[in-house]
Amino acid sequence: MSGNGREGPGNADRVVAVAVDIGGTFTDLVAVGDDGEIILAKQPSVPANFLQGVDEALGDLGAAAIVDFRHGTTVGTNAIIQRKGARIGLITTRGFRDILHAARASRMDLYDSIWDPPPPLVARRDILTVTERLDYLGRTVTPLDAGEVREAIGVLRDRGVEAVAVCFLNSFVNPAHELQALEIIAGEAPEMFACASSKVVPEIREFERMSTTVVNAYLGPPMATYLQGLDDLLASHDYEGDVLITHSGGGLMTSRAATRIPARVCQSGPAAGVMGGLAVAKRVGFDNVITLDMGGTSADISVIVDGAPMFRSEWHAQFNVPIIFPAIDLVTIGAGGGTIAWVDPSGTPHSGPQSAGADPGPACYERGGTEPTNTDANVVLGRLRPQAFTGRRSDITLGAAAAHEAIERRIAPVLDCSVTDAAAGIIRLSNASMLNAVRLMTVERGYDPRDFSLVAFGGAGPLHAADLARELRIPTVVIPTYPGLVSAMGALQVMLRHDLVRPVFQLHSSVSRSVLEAARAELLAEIDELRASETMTTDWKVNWRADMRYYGQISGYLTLDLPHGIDYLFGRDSLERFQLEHQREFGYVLTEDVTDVEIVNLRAVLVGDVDPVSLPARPAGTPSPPESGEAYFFESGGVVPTAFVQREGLSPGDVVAGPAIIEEWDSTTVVPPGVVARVAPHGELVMEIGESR
Amino acid sequence: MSRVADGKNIDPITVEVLSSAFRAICDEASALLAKGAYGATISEGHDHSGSLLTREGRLVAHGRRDQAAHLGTFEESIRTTIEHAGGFREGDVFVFNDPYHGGTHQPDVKVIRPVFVDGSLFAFTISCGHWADVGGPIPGSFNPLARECFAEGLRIPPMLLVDQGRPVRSTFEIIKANVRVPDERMADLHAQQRAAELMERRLLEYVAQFGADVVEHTMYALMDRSEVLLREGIRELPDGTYEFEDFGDCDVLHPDKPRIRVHVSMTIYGDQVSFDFSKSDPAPISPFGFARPALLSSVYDGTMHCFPHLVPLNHGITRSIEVVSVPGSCVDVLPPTPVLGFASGAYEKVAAAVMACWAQAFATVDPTRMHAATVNLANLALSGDHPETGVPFVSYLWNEGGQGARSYKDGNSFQLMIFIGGATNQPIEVLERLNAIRALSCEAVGASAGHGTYRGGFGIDRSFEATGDMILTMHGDRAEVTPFGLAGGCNGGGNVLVLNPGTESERWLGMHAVGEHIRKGDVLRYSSNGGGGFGPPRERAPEAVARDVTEGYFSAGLAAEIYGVALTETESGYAVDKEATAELRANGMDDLPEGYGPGEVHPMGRNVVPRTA
Repeated sequence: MSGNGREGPGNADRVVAVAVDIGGTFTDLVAVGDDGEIILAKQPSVPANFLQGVDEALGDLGAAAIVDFRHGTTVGTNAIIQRKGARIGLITTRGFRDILHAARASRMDLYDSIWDPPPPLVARRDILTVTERLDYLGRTVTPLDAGEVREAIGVLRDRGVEAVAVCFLNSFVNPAHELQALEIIAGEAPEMFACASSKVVPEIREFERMSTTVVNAYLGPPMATYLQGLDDLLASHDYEGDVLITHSGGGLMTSRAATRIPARVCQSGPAAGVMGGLAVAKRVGFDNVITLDMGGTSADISVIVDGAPMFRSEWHAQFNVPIIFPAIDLVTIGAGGGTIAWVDPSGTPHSGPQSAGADPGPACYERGGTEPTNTDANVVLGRLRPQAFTGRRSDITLGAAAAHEAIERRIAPVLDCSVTDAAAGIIRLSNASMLNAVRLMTVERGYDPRDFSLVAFGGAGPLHAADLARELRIPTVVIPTYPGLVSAMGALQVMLRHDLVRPVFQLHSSVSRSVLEAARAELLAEIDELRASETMTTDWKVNWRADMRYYGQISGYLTLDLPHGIDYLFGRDSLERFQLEHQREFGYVLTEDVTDVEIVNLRAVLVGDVDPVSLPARPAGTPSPPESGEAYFFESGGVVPTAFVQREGLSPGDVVAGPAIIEEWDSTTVVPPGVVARVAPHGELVMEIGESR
Repeated sequence: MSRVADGKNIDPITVEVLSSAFRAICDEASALLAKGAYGATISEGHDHSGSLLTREGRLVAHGRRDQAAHLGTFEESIRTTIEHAGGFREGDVFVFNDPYHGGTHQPDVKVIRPVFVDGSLFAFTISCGHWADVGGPIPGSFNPLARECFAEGLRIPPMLLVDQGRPVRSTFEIIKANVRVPDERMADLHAQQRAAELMERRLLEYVAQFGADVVEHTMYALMDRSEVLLREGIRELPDGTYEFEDFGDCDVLHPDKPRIRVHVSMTIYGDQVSFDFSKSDPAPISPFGFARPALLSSVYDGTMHCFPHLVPLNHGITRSIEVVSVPGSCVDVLPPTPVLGFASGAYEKVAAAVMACWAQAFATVDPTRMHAATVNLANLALSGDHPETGVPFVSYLWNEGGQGARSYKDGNSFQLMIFIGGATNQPIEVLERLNAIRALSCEAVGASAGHGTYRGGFGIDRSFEATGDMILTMHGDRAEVTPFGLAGGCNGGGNVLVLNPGTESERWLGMHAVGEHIRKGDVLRYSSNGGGGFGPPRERAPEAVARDVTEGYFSAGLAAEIYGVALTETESGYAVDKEATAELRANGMDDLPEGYGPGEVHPMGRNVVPRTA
């Protein structure tokens, strides 16, 4: 393997399926040839011009012809966090100018008068109101004043607004006014990106729907420019097919669809990572899995039960910025390789959430960073050897002395301990925040971590996995074939997917067939539109679902699969299933004489089969003798003689007994004493973690 | 690095790992309760808490978005439970809500679970949630006309709910027999039991991992650390006595009487602090005050806002703060004086006055700890039958409002009260489906911010129209005595409730309306306090005034009148006319009147100014 992490040469007659994932730190490329050969590349991301990183990664393909291109990108999330989206306007119902700014009136912490919420994505001045009102059933109380919409759009256009969001009260039950406003906008300002909440996500709760629509408008123009640039770039590489983008729901959509609903592109990389982790787990025979994707700045944790990822109906791109597309349920915490360890004025040590990022990076990068990070701690503990890291980023040499010095200066004196113990302490703190997150994801939902396997990836995941598993009493850890490229691998595994929703608000005891059929008809019409535009497959499946809860419950609902479509909602089966699920999730049920069950939304999940690209096995290695060295293990309570093994020298069936460190070009796996890592048939590392303490 | 403790020498990493675990345990319990509870007060309003206490009943940790009003009462809750129970056995669970002996008000029902390790009592977990109803004459139990707690619903001393793993049927039955929609409340109770149990399970995992001695000693170590930090902070402040006073608008049963005075003297001596409420008024007849446990919550709440880096509240802090109160006064009511009104009554005044005392002490040391007063609850209870579905509803409305200005920055708009900082507002579209209302507004009230060099946050107008007949009851305050400003900043705008404004039938319902019959088509103006301002408005940066007008919060006329800033309209909004502004500010500005109402300057607050030492 060469210095820039390439594996396999690109030659002219090879045909490849390509996935590129842009994360905050690295841009990863995976290309799989029709001959089963694999090309891998990793480049530093270029936030100023993400496409430059893609172009450089594509350069590694040489002359191979691209026949399938898939892409995950952090560009949406970045634009929100850094407030680098479009200048946008918001048009809403007269009298309701502050729905967005009032948000849910919530605070991060109960005791903190110093805290300020992040600034809203639309300035109040650019929120304009127009006369119109629908009631809660969608009946017109006051018709839309078309003149006011024309006037508003004129004002916004004159101010240089690039995109506009429209969100009226109760539009989720009747989109008529919003659609009328969209038409007027198209007539008055055809160049402007415009979207309406009833088209983006017709769900009850005005703030969350408005926020999703506002995010969509905010990302509209920059995402359109970005995706156009991507299309052009690929055209210059002679690619003629559809560009498929991964989205928060763990599926793909075309760049055309992504241009229309860019809000769904947020969190695309992490969601693809979960799907990649799931594919790995299935291949080694596990269905109940916790995925840990630990990169440079953060860790994403997700839970998979019975082979299916969990979904959430709402997630937050940032505090007060909810997005309500069904998304893969994952928790992101500030625990990555670059996460900074620090000591507060009272002498209390902490880890994160601040990160040294890619620039200046950890102290050991010797690029001006002086704060000790997890990476520095792993260097001091002997787990990350400078010589092993060289392959990962040819532009960086790790300075062990710099790592040592940062911890010696900032942490060890305050804790009154050796530099090694301080480094071990840093790792324990970082692990503690991941442990809490895993427990939140599992225990709270009634699952026991001991019934799961841990699939750990990202550059830093395999360094921490065994320690985490031991503390959680997770019996098995799986390290994928290429741990640093799982999001890109995941993109090659997933299907086209669109999640559609219509409100129905029916009581189960008196459910109206005509209401359900009308909702289904609307969803089918939307499905037909999507099929007509997403032409790369004709193999579509529709899964019907319903959101249900007890009547009068306000928060939340349970989403049930409808095995026979809406007919299922007319029998007692669905009621009994709801009661069963409610008992499992919340621990109680209410009987029918107490309260009815309400069917809130009908959902259609449209899945289009695009051939998954099968993950190639890792090529068998040429055995090389392990090097001997020293590293710290918690089990030993100190530094012990350790075998350093090159992963490229391993072949299926090989075993590595701890204490050992398995090194490869994009990651490092810690195998503690008493643990044995086996190489699975496709090259994954599988570690059985005993209860050694 | 030794991990096995001798009791005094646990390494700081282990302490921090367990400290974040204790908080995570409480957060998990809160999340579980919010998801599993039936009542909207818990699931949507997030009026719930989960806490961990030592076996002596010393507070260890709470959830980061729990409700401050609950937290200061938990130590007293456990003390009372220990006293009543006489002893605990594994598998016991208690239920409790008595406001006078460790509760807040009757709807806040606590599930208390003793935790055992190796057969001995090790700790307690508490899960507390605000039930939508605990009986009494009025649906929802809020009864502004109560003269005694007996008219405020069921009072529950610590009672065995589960006896060594076996549910105690008589306890469940007496609760069910005394509340409305008992099955829903049983669902809430069940969710609370699950939350308390989850905390136990998670705590025991850490005990298994680290050992009971390490876990317990870490609890005490965290308390010691908090105490040291608080005392170090106090020692930096000048010794002396700092006073502040604030008022409730009126005793609703004696509207002719003077306003209800809440007075506090804070004394700092070395590293000690004491709050003395002896000069506060006697308890009025109507619901306004609280019993001592909730007074403690409020004092801790105001203090923690001035020491936010000390989160979480724990016993190290509670034992370091002395609170003196006179039994029978409005901040230390005795049974059977009603307490259900404390949330809109005494609580916010005590918290704000405590913060104003800290502001004086910090004035020379760290002015960033100086905060003007924040929005006060105006809780509107509506009941009736849905005009189309016929389904009966009882629902509460509450408004977010303005945060008080900081000495260096405007207060945020659209924040919840200090007493319920972990809560949220409610979606209009949900309210319109379940109740007989159609919203008319969700907009800032431009005139509501307490003007100042830094202004308070804006209050909100959430007016609505009745789409059917219903009964309305208001539990509110601060229509007249509004959130105070400091350092010459103005008091914020008032809470407002007006029936059919701008019509011939316009009527001021005010903050103590009871059992008002509202007819279909009636319009209610319902808007909230802005926060108090900080510093004289005429010293506000003119650009900040131009920004407020550009953003559409208030008019250029108001900018000239209150702030002495002359503005000209431009393409990108409003720009400052510097010359005209200088002239306005040099001449022509009247002194702001002293007083306790909107736009006036609080007489004591005026002198709370940042100073150089």
